Amino acid sequence: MGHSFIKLGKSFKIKPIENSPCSLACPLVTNVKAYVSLVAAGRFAEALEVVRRTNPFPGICGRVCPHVCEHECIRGEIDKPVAIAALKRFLADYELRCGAMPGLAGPVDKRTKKRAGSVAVIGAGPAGLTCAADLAREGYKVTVFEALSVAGGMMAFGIPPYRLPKDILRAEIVAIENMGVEIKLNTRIGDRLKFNDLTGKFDAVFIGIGAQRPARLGVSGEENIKSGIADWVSLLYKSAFGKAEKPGNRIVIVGGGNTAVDCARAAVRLGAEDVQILYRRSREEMPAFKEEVDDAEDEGVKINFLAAPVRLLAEKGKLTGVECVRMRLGKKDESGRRKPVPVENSKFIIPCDAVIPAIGQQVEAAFLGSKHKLKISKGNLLEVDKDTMATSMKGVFAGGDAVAGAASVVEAIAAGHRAAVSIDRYIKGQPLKDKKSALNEIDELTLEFSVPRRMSRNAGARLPAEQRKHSFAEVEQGFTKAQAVAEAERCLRCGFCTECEECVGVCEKKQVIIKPAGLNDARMLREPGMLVRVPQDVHRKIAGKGVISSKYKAKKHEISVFTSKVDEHLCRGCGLCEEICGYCAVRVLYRGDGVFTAQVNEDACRGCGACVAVCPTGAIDQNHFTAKRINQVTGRNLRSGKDRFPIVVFACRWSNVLKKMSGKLPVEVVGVMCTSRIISGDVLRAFENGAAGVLILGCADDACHYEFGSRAAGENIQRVANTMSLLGMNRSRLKVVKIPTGGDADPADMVKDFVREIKKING
Amino acid sequence: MAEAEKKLVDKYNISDVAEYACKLNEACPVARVNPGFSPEKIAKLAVKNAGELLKSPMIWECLACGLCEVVTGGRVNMSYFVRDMRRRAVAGGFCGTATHGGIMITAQRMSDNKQLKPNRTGWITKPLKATFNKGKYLYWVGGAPFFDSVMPELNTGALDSARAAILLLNRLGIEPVVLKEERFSGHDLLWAGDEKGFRGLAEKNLAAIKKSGAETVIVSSPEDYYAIAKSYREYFGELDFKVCHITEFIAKNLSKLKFKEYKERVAYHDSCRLGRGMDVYDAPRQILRAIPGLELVEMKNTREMAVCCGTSCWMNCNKYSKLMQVNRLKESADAGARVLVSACHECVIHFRCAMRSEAWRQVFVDVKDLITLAGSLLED
Repeated sequence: MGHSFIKLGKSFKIKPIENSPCSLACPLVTNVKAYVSLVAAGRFAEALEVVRRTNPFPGICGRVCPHVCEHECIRGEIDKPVAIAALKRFLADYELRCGAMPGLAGPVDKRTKKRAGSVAVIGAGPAGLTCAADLAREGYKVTVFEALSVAGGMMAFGIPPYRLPKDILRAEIVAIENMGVEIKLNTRIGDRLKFNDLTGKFDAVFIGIGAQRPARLGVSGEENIKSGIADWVSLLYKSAFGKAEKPGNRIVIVGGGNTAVDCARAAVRLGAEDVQILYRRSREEMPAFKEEVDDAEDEGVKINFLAAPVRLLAEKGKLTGVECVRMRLGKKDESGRRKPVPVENSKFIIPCDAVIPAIGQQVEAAFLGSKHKLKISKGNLLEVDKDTMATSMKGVFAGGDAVAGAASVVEAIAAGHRAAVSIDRYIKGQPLKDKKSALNEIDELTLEFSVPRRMSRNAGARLPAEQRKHSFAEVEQGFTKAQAVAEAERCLRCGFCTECEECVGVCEKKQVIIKPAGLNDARMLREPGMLVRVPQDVHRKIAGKGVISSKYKAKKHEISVFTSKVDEHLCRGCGLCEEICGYCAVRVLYRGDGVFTAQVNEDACRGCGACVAVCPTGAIDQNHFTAKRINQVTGRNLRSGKDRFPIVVFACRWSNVLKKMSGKLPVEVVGVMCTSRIISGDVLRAFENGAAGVLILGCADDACHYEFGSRAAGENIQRVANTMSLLGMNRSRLKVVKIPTGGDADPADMVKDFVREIKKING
Repeated sequence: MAEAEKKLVDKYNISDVAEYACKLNEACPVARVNPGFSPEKIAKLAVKNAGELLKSPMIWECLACGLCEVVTGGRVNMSYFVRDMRRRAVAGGFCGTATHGGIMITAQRMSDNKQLKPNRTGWITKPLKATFNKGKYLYWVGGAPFFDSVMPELNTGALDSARAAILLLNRLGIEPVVLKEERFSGHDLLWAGDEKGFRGLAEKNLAAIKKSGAETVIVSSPEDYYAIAKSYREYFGELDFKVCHITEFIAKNLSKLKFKEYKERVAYHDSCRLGRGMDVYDAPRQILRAIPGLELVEMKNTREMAVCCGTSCWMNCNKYSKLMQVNRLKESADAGARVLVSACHECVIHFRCAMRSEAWRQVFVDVKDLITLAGSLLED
């Protein structure tokens, strides 16, 4: 795990790093610090890529993960832990909202390698899909068999839509399908296709079928009851797909896990009048997420702690109540929790018409057939080697709830990863266990902080309890972009280097390399801002203070600052500028009295002017390249000149077009820092004032000085082009030329070509 | 003091504002949020020095929503005063700030050009049925094709509304004429101080309508409806065709239409031009009531007291506009609605823009266009 970043040359070296507690707590060892730092720097695409290195389901885990990382967060010892899960969710949501982010080709790498060998995965749950995705990335042909008509397993029906909406799940499964994984729905193994067929047909088989048989209550009277015992599987399954009816009006749910709470909240939404959870220990021991328990209580669910059922009461086979006994907590048992002990003479009856046992889950092993060689444990789960996930049968691996019993999505993902490694080794004929492959022991982290400033934890908006009760709409609304950045800034970056590995790709001279730890130690790096591509100090001086000191002369040169500025009176805080800016230099802030307006951080602004062009109210202007200056060309009567066919050229300054243009040309030139600064209205105004043609000279897509310049420019130009054709104008009067990098093409020739084309159009 | 402006002050009884000052300041949607603006302030400056008022941003901040007229029982005509003052201001070289980089206003001015043959009917595809030459009924599309292509980020859905309107008309057995050479109605130019541009567009449009032989013009946008039915009459005398809004036309023929169930609580937002401008309050509500399962609730400020959506004629949008929109959205949520419906594309655009950032999280309401909603709920 440990490695150090060493920059050759004299400027700085980075201290060998230890891992941070959040990463160590995570079953996937996700590089939490790296992606949180990248969010703080506004680099969402790279952040999401870091998450995806270990987790194929960021949107799902961001919502439903038990986030043990947050329990270990050092910030939690100062005030409250960083909202790590919510940040992960933000990244996934942001991608869904904005499409593939700039800098990323797509959400996943396409299957590039091809390798002989095929793998069958039974069950399209988190473990199975993770294993499938890993193997597909390695180049194997993977087929997933799913009994239900939807993929996702427990994520599809075990987690109700108010915690995990279906479209989020769908998007992340599509990403896995895009990697070349084939998912066969409605294919239950054991029906037409037998388990033995799979072992013969495929090189390896992974079983990730989950544990879906509800355990029985095991109390007296249970066998006499014909109606009134509902099972949580079908309740959650049906409510997830909108077909559920309430199992009764007064419902008792037995158990203290997330399943019990989910059942209770589903029952409330289905209209049950009285919903009660029975749990034999106290609130502190309850394994369900605390937030979920609180939410359930807000929605009207009662929780009866320290109570356990002993007998079910019935009349003519119909359930009428549950006889319970009070418990008290005794000594600690093997699991480290205090064991509940019945209190004498404390029996009481809860009248009810339905009871839902949610006390444990078992594997439905019937599909294996009678002659299988798989070992099944006492608790009705599959037995595997913990490191390799191999079952007792050769070539058959298993993981997820089928092995661990009811557990979390993130644990299932971890099992899927481990199984994929083993399957890869198995198919290649290598021994399954390798000394090196075992996780390294990691030293305890020693931290030295000056006591950091207290910063309150951000929280996204939530649906109010009254609205929640009647709908399965998602409760948590997630972070806004500004909230996400603010929350990520709370991270203390324990261990100093954020390990995002961005420096490796950024360094053009290949001076940054990653080496195993223990070789060097030097100065610490704490600023995520180190990722900036220009030398930071020089840029600061240009952007922030408008002063640059020359190396050779003592004299200071005043230079104009190209940054954007906001007219607060005109700004309506719509957030378009915030979305377009790739440097997080513009943020919408709350100004009190319900007013939101944008603010430019001049240190971060690089002066492309893309925000100016997207602003719907004209509130943003750019210094130097002001609206007024552009209007001097586009706003005056162009017909009055000598030219019969006046032409306006917008030119990007970075492409050096203006310098390269040799000779004087019969055109009006408007210089901008980036073509993304060009307002669609300005182009149209040039036509209104008599321009016969407008030429836009910009850089090639890969050569744009700004990360998003060409893309943003394309959108604005599209607006003008659409408007022109609606008005009935000839669209070829507007032309965009991207000057290729490196070539010796003379922009002047391009302008001359365009002048010729325009003359041709006008006959 | 400039004589021309003084005449306008007298013509529209602006000096009477003082008498109603309290009521007007309380009702004015801009004054409620913008401390620098009120009808009283405009009137005071107008009476004191109307020439100075031309340079003031106040005449551009006024929404000309028509509430002043309602509150004073028609005595003070603030909207027309502001409209005519803007014309004087533009002539004097003072102008407000155009929104969307000025592309909407520029496109409208450019549309007044005989040489250009507009081509804005590309969205009419099968199974929609429309003719492009002659017919009894004419469907007036308005700026919808432009809204969709200029503001893709707002998901305006303006063309969806136009498609739904044609679908509804087809269902009533009408194959409307849609003019290929339809131009902007000129409403926005007139209200942004460009009377010459308005006249040019109006003349061309009237000629095109005449050529089509249409007896009834069914207009989709309330602003265009107002322009054709009121401003064209004001400038060119009586029209030789009937004009109605699409909601009026549908409401009249409701018995021939059947809608699917739509179980939502819905509030209806009266747009200024359709409500106070053209006195159409009931037709849209009749359509909503005809949808089974739909529960119509009324907001606190409704019908002739409805509050404007915060911006008009693509001019002067700012933080106060947003505040007005957010307040209006909250008002609908307070009335218990989950969906806010309007019959005006522009209101829908403005509300959608207000919901596309931090502020929308305070309000959980969907904004929908009435005709799009009705079209999507038609029984097969």
